[in-house]
Amino acid sequence: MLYIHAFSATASCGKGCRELRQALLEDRPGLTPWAGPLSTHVGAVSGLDEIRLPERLRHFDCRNNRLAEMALRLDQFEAAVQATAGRFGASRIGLIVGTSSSGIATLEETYSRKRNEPCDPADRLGDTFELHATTRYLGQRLPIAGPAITVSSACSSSAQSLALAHQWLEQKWIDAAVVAGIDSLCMTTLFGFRALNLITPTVCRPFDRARAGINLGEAAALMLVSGQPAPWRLAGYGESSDAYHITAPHPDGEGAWLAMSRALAMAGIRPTDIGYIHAHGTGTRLNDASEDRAISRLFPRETPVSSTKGWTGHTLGAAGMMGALFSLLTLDSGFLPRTLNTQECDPSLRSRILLHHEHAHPHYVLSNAFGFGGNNCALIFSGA
Amino acid sequence: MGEHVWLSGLGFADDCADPDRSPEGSMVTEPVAFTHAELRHATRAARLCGLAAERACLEAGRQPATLSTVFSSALGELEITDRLCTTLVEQPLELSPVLFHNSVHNTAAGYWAIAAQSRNPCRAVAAGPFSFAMGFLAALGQLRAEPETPVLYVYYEMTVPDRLKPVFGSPPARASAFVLESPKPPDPDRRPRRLLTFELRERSLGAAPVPADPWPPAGFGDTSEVAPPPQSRIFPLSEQHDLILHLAARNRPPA
Repeated sequence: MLYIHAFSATASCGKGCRELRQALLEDRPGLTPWAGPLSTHVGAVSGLDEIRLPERLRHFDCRNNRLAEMALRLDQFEAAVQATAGRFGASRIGLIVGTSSSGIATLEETYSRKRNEPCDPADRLGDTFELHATTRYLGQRLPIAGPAITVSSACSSSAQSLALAHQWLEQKWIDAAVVAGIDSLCMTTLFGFRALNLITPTVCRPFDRARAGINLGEAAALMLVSGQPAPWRLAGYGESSDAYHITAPHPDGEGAWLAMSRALAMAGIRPTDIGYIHAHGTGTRLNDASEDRAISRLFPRETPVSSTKGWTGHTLGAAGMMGALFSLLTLDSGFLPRTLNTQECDPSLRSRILLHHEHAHPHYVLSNAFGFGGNNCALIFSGA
Repeated sequence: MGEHVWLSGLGFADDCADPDRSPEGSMVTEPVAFTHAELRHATRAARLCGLAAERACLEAGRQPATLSTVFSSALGELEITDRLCTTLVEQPLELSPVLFHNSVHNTAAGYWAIAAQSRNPCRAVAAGPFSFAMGFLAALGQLRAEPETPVLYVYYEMTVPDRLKPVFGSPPARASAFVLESPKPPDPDRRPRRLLTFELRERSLGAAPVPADPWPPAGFGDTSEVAPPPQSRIFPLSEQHDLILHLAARNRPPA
């Protein structure tokens, strides 16, 4: 069993769980027009320029690691990890970090600065750009000496990280773990999603009749988990592959349906037990239609569904953990957020997409994350 | 002491491409499974992994679609990332969608899932110098969680682009694939396979990790008819842990 003992996050609409919850309650999104050469909005985290990594770890300095540093200073997260290390020993704490692009912004900057010159160790690419760099940073920053791994399966990375943590806890390979989802804004994803025609020039409007694509965002979300009881737990997870297309989701949401079905089976519950679905809901034509198909095929019509991408933008590799965090806030407060920016639901969709905030006390909440490669992961959370 | 799984299939592939040729000029052979139209943009890493994975599945006598998969690599699609960042510096608006989606770490895993027509879980992981052992552990964890579904584990590294060689060295491109199965489910075919014992061990305080060549040595897991002697091998898993893999002689499972 995986229980959640502490969690922390930073995203464009708030730093720390209290601010994030207020941002949802008060409809304060973090999306702003991008200052760069593309016409779009982004969810950029403010204050990263002022973040200083500890002196001994200064060689890790980059935007992605600063995001991680910012998150671990919030919500007494660092203290919680210290206490857990005191209890189990640092070598029994694992570290599982989901990221899609890691510190690729540093490679972009390096190439821009050096033009065609070769790179060298002084460029610190191993501590910044390499996929495992942020995992190494967190491992040295926190008292963690157990197995440390980076999961990088595009936009389902950090949802999968939580599933992997569950497996390692079950095997008693670790007693506790820090699970993270961290991705920072970079040219690669901005111009990359533009090339795929998936960036909207305005703000994203998930499930809206006029939805026109995503806004990119950045975020770091951290969880401290263990097999010891705590107020929240991961009741189930389900993973699947579409086996359909490298970027487009299966039009009927076959893979999404399978992932959600597997999560329900693992949790040992029925679809009617799910009181709220935190959708992947990116705001692209295809994602939202496909996800709606899967949800409406599996769940009763009255199940409330919403997307929080209108607050944070699509945080890519961090999206799974941000979804997990919003799910816990929902369980905790009974507050079901609406789908921000969405005015008129696409009439071809069949799910009950929330256009207004609601209050309920769901026993089980499901959160989706889907990624390139047709990679799907659904997580179910509940109170202990 | 340790825990047991079956190693039922093994596949290797390396890249015989002329190192002076561009990535597009790869000589990597097309895996049989890569026939779907969607796969025409598959990267060199995806093809290399596909080849190794296909060989492992063949030896294991398993349909690729029936397996869960874990792919691990320290540097993944570095060749693609290098071209992508070069394009971003020179002509960002010219960035092609294929170059972008091929740059993600789960590119090889994604193409494989499509080629194999597998709906099963598929993870892509990395752990720097510990990528082989850490990926292996992830695969073992997946197998334990779903004992009825064999797991295909693929570890690969590609050649490093010239301008990044001073940072990341210049390992040759290669991929190795392992089909792992639970000892439990009875196999009507009773195909020959090897018992693999694994153990996660904490290194004694102050002990240095074993020199980290993450690759299994030549012949590791060889399942040819002439069974090699049992072998043990320690793979560094983290700064403080090792993964110890012990392969028993190849054998037929009990009926």
